[in-house]
Amino acid sequence: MSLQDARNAAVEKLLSRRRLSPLELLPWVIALGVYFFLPQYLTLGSQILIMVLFALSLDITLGYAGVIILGHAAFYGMGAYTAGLLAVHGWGDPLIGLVAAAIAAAILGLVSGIVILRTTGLALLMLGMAVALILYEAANRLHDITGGFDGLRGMTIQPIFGYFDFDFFGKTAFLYCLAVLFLAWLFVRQVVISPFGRSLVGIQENADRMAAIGTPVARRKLIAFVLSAAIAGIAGALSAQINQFVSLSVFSFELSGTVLVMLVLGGAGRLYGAFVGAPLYMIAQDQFAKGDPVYWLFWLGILLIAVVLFARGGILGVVDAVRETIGRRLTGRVAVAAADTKSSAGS
Amino acid sequence: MDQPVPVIEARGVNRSFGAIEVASNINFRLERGARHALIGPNGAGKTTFINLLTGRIRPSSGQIFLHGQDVTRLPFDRRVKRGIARTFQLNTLLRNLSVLENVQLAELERHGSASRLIGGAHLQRQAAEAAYALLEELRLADHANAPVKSLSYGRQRLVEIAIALALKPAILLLDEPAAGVPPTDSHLVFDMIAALPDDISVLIIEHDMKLVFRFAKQISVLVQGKILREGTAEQIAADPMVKDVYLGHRAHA
Amino acid sequence: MTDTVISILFSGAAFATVLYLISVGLSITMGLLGIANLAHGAFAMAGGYIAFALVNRLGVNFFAALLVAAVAVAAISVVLERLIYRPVYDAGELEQVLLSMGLIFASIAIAHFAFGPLPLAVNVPASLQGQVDIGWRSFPAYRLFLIAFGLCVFVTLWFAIERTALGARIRAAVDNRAMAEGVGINTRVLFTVVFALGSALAAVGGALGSEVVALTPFYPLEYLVYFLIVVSIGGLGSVSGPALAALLLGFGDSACKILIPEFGAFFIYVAIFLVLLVRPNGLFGRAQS
Repeated sequence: MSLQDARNAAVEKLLSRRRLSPLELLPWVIALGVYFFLPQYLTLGSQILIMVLFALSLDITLGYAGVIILGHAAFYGMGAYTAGLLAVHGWGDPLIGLVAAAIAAAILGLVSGIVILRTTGLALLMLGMAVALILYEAANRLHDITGGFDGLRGMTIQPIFGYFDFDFFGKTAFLYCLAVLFLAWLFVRQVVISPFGRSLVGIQENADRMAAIGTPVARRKLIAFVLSAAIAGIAGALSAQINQFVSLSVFSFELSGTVLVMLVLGGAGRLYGAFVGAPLYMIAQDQFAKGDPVYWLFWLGILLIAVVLFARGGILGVVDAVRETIGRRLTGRVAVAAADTKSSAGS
Repeated sequence: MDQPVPVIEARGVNRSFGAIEVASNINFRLERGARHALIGPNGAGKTTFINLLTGRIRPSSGQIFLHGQDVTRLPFDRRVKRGIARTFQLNTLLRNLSVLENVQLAELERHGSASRLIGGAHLQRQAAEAAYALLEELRLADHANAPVKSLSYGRQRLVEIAIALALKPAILLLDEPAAGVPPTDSHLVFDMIAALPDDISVLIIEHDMKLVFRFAKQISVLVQGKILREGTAEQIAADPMVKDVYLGHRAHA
Repeated sequence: MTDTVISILFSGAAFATVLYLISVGLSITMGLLGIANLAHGAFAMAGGYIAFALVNRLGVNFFAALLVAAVAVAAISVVLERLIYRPVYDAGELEQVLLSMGLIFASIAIAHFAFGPLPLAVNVPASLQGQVDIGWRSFPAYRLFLIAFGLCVFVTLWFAIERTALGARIRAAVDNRAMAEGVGINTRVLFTVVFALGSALAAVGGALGSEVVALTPFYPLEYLVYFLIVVSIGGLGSVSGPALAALLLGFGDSACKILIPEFGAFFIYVAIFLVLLVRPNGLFGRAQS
């Protein structure tokens, strides 16, 4: 191998994460499969797609920027109420709702991010929780506007592009969620492979090192935080539009915790953790929680403990480890085989 | 006659942590193209002084000038953008990322393209190629795709320097670059430092006096947060007080 | 008017006592090893339910039940510390948060299986029932006892930390763990001891406090925010900081509930937010650089 080849090989290897692998199309194939062959699950399917989007948004802050936030529901809820209130007051165009929700959540992300990202550790955890708790109490107090504890009702959602009406079977809703998730995925994928995304990974690894190469660490984190908030807002808006209902629980600690658990079970910082964790969580919950929700909670708790103790990278982390081990075995065997051929050729 | 503007200058810099004064009225000039060593016993405040110069910590009072401009209030990363690069006493690297990417990220940051959210494929390629060329110069190319943490500590020290060089700095601050490197490999580090381009101004913290006298033309002696002596290598080597306080101290240690 | 003020102060102090008993152990353990143990409230709940089972179902003496609950929870906590917490001491904060969330979920489910979903309280012993007349006004005897007990615990802890050898070790390890280890303090053993003592105190808090803060399976989650507020405002690794923080929170909470119930805890959260903004290490915490 010439020096030139060695250089090209090394550079290609570094850039290889940019290339789209066929496996990355699997979620979309499965989603379309559900649409065509399992129409009875479209309603659940739409909820799953929304949670995938929500968990994907969290992956930007948690998985890439390494900011541990226990109040991500604040942005989801902000988006949900924004789109919901618009639809209640006559602006029922779904796409306008999405854009408005993204902007509102981004502004909230910017304002809260400037404040809370200055802290670390316990204070950061607490401030993240406090943002969602304050919004929860505020939404409860403002029941004339938000419906308070009874939730926000009475939305009229217009057809998408003025043409695709939301049908009773949830077909339009499913495709709508799928399309939005697909676009969001394209965007997030671009972001995490971009120079910006890689610098986030660097910040998570070692913020001192990044500052020493001239990275404005605080600003990068804030931008990531705002992007993440905006996408969470879109997920909240989708939920409001599909369900035509927003409850106070969109701001709840439970929701913040749930989305965190989904992402971590799937594997944070891998882009596809949300696509693995959210569906598994929701399908399992759908199956097990029917009988006894407490039973579900017990096993969820045990699972979380097991993931932390034995499988830090979540499900995708385990898959990677298995693939690596198999890969090593295979190359080992090839090497042995090659040595065998050599020795037999020599004899 | 006008004195030339030093590339970096500290004027009356003080810094204390609680009751402990780690920098006490330090006046210091690093001239263009300098080969300057900062020596002193452990705990003298040498690393703190580098942290003050780079903006990693702020002085309690006093000023820092970079190319004649007051940068006392400028954060670390902005000073880096103005031409300071440093290495750390303890390896401070992106351990799970490859050697190539550690250097490539520095290249991207220097070109100002690291904030790009979308696209950037060709910029990443250019930066990776430049980074690889640098690794070749430093004989690290064989390890380009290996995660940093898989390298020996000594090689990781070289990666520290490679990253600093990728920033194409006007000023290079080296904090004990050979610390932790096995004696058999330390010549790698010092050959690299000896071969640095003349237009880079270098400040080095080093304990090995043989290496200091081989490399440095100017030496400052820091003791308990104060600059005790300053002069050419010959002056410092001959200074009885330095011998007593610092060199003698080492002989006992 | 004075009546309202007195009610606020009195119920606030009772709530503060419960919060303090439960949170002070958390403050010390977090200060010692920086473990974000969000599941600390589960120990309080466990103590409460054990005391409930002993007193209400088996007719055991109230104070004996308290002791048993404290010892049992301390034992459980040591096992959990060895098996589950130890592997994540050096892991990141995220792992600690997730682990404690897992423990919270599991503990909720176990409590639900064993005691059902309804709110429960440990029966107050006959000697502490009724009202005590202290001249111009009468107060519920049990709550007076609770507040007095809290004061005793505070004073004891303060002396233990400031004046005993164990306390000196703990303070040294909170200030600088590496240095403490350097002078021969076995921080691992120390941490196990502190963890067990903190959990035992939480168990006592959960059991004594069930009259103020009812036992439900969701206890560890519902009051998590309150425990964390006490710890974060009070400052890590301190005995007196959490006491002051618990009092502030107790008074604030009962004032909000009595004066402006329609706002819920809105102003509390806003206040916490502002405090942590200005002083990320808490109102009473030592500034860490």
